[in-house]
Amino acid sequence: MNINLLINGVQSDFTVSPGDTLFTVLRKAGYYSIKFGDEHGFSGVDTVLLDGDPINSGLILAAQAEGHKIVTAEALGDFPDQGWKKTEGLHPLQLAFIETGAIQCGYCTPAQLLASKALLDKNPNPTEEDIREALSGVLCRCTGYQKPVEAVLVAASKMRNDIPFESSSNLMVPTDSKNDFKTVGKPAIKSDAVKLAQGKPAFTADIEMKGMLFAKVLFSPHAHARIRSIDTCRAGALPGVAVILTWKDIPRVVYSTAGQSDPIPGPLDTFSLDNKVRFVGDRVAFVAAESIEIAEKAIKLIKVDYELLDPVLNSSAAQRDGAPILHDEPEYQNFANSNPQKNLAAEIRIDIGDVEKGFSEADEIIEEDYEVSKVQQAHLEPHVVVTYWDADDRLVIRTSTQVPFHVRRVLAPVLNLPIKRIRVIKPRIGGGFGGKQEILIEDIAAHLTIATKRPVILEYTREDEFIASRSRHPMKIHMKTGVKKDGTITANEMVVLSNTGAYGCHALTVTGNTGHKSMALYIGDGKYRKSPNIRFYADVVYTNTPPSGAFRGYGVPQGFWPLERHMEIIANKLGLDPLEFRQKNTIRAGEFHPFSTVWNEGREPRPEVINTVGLEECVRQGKLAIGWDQKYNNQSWHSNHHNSHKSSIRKGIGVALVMQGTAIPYLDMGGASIKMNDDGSFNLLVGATDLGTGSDTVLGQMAAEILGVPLDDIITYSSDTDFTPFDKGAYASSTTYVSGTAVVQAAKLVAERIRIRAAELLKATEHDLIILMDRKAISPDGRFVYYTDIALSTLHHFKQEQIMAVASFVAENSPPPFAAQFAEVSVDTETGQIVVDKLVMAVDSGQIINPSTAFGQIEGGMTQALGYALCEEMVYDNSGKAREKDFLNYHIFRANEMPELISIFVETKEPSHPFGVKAVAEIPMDGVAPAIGNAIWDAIGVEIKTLPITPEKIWRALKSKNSNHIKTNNLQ
Amino acid sequence: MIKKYYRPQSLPDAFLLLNKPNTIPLAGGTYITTEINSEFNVVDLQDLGLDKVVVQNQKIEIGSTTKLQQLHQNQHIPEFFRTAIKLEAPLNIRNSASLGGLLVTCDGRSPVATSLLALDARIILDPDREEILISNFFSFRSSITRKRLITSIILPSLQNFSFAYVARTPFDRPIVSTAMSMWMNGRSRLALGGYGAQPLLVIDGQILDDISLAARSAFSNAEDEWASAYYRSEMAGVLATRCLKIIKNKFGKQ
Repeated sequence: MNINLLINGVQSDFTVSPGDTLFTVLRKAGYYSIKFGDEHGFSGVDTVLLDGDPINSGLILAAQAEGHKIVTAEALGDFPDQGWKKTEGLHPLQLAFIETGAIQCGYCTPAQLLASKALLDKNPNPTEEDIREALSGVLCRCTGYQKPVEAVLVAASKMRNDIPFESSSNLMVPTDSKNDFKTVGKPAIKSDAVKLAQGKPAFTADIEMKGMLFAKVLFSPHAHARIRSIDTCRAGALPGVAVILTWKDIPRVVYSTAGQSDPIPGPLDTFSLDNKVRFVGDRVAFVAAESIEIAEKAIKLIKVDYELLDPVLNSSAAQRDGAPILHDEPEYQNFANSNPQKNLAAEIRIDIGDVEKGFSEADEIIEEDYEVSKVQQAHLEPHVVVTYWDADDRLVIRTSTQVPFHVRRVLAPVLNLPIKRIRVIKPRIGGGFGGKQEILIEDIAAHLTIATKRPVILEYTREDEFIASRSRHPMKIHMKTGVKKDGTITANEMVVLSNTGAYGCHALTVTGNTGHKSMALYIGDGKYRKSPNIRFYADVVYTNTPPSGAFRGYGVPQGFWPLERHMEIIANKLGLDPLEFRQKNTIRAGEFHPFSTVWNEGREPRPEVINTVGLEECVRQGKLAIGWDQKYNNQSWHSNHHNSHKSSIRKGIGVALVMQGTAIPYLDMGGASIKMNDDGSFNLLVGATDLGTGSDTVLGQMAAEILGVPLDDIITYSSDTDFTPFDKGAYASSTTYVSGTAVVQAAKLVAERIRIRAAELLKATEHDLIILMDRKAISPDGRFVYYTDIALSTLHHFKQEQIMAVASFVAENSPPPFAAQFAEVSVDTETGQIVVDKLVMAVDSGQIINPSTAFGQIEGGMTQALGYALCEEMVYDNSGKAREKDFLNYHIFRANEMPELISIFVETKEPSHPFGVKAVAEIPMDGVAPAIGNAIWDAIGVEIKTLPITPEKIWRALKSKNSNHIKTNNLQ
Repeated sequence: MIKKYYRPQSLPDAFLLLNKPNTIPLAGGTYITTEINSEFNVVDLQDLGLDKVVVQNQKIEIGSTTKLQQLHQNQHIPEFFRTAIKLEAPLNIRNSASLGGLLVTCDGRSPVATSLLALDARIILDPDREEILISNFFSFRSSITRKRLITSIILPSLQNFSFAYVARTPFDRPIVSTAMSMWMNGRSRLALGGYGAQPLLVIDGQILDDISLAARSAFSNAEDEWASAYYRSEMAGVLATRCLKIIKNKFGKQ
């Protein structure tokens, strides 16, 4: 049918199918600002304005939109300077989003901009509540909404010509003398923010190729089954189907989907396609067709005959004698102590000191059991990949990945191609959070391209994400701690049963970090400081559930929930102040990281001293920000309320101390290359993978600082395995530290060449006294030469050379960031309903390179952690089918239900990095849940030991407490 | 999969089209666009003028294609019903989803459906303008809407209304919700939501001495993957009492 649409003020004719959504038609017409986030409109990233109101373009037929005014983000504004042509420039909202740091991955930004525009068009002077409501239709997984809200306030005040709005929720606390950096430490605009604010085609799916096929996967409906036969005849006969691949059609190569350095520290237990399925959502067949609709139709026509096998659906059952075995394939390759006959993907046994002796020296031994749930990364851009053969018969994989170099290396044998014939391109990424530290779907598109010789795109739906991608490892944890009456910890033990699901990707390393980071925080006091007694044992088992994998925090949040709840329980039992008790036992600067002597992610351990610990200042700042001294133990505050059913509301306050790591020592390597251009600008090429965190900008800032130029003169590009140096990718909190050091070293080499060539031009004798500043090389006597002149001279005029350098860096340390995280809650004692009113996080962050992006990391991390604490959970029925398949049931916090967030950076100076940085992106995940759990104890005196903290759990705990109280009173 | 799209300009034309095989009405589209498992034709109702909210003789007549957000912003809609509308879906969806569409597709977790049940809404089905009690509508909605169209929803009179709920977060889908209306003559209606295929009417008549007991009994078997029956039952009692208290406190002096 033919329709006419008014889009951004222009009438256009379209020929569409009656069922085509507006989303489909607009994307085909090149409006790439509209993104796919989910099938049901809950993400809102497909927002357009229809007659001025934000709606989901994926939930309206194109035909329905005829006769209405459609506005997309493309209409908002343009980059002002287009060579000889100037435009009216960017919209004030776009500018405000760019300048306030409201854009992280940028996948939801066009939608947020349109929602904000709709608001300001009707209400030029909105309150924060109005803005939060306006943004509530668009999920953001990166920012925590704080900065987008600020951006709208800024834009609104500018559009009204009012007093500029200024934020006051964040604080920087330098602990060292003031530095004189020009670029480092200053809020800088993200290098990709301008294009993202315009909704430019920056992401993997924003590409069209002639002859592109659309891929779909047939997923298993059974948790455990062997495939007897697959009949693809009817599906294959469907017009428009290019190819159907089953396990019989492709090479049987065992590998691991984990995106990690060689050798993979885990078992090899996965095939692209197998004759056995191990979870509901496991792969059965791949289809490539001329359209998504045809591919979906074909999937339904494939007939599979399954021999059903008994499933193992929970981790405790997996270890029982006679339990069904998931991995009976002969190709299975063990790593360390994995044992498929026992459904054991990994086993960890770490003893530091003499734990039994430590227990024998304790006055009290306190033991408790805890549990953490399976949750999903839920990046709003799903997994998506485009593959094609280039003119040189090299396979190009354009993919939304955190690990482009690992994708290339791991897939080479799977595809039977040498590494040199694979090129991996990483465009902008719409969030990853660890979910894209996985070679999850690249092989599927690649197999289909090899089979058809045609470009193939595969984009997971939201349901595909929930049933067939990765998640955080759920764990059952037993804690046992020996304590003296004065609060000295004499021994601390954590025993973990971790569920890796059907495959062992990240099994060992995630669970290893559960102990490695959390159990290192409390080493004890007195003699125990020199010789702490710590035990960490873990079994990581296979079950017939979707595989677990990497998720921001990488096992550490799973460790801090039990540890910090346990510390609170101990403090309460012994009548100790919870903060004094914790601080008495925490690790201090100059002490060995206790685990560094015994464990290093499955590799050789090397002892490591912790240089800086800013925890004391974090506690001080955090207490001030949340009003700890006024609220803790203040009974009148606990019953303070502003609610209609006020007598049932109790307030509480809680704290958790946490630590994380920064990179994996002696393993993580990052490379960088820098070259000087004719105009004195520089190309910085890094293999590091900016997944929305702003790492390209941060790396650029470090280069700019060394080279004495504004950030504008550094053109950062990441990543393409053909062009950029190797980098292991974006994980393990390593980019700023590891890749950043590589950048600094490359910049120093370039700076050296600039000084030498400047000395020649200036006829100065000692080049090493030349200062680089403001695009100039300045000799001690004040004479200077501009970079443009140096560049022209070296490239064109005299002793021509390309000033450039490559450097790489491997860490020898993993300096931990530390943090104090506080929560204030209101609990309804009649229903168990909990509302988190405020979250405060004070982080020992090292030197912050870009406060704007760094605060965004903290706010976004706290928000994800809030979901982990209260509402995010993946549950399966008795047949292994998922309860959560969409964003209705898997609830993510929206802008209008957020607590107040306060972030504080305590800037210690880490001596092992040229600028003194530590990592901050993962640590916000660690302490929110236990701080909330502890605040609930403070509010109503009940112990919640499992995540998420649902109203029913709180209510049941209260009921149990009250009935015990009654029993006790009766006995008395 | 949608095979044909029609956009009639009058109700009679719409009914003619709806009489064609496999043809269903399209209001907001938020549900139909996600339905990919069958083939059908759609009749877009947007040009039929069914999106008006009219207040007359103390009754509110809401056109069936009225968007949820339009309803949320309407000053004649009771405050607590507006809360329920906001809980139903995020803003973008509320800007598209219609009240009529919601009634056809919702389940018992729907805060709006629970509220409408307590409000004793009437469903007007055309072409014969049959008025159906909402409690009857939920039980037979798939059969009684065949070849017919919900053209409006009537809230019988302005009444005292309250809504209470428990959820994991402030705007998550409620695990348990209660909605209560009370008229000047003392008649009350209490509905429970958050569970099952449709909301549940607990009381229609004079208020009971122990409203909590009635609510608890009604949800005594309301167990699913989101909550135990024990919890739901107890919460139904607590929230029902709360609703009553709110009405008494807020509207008691009227």
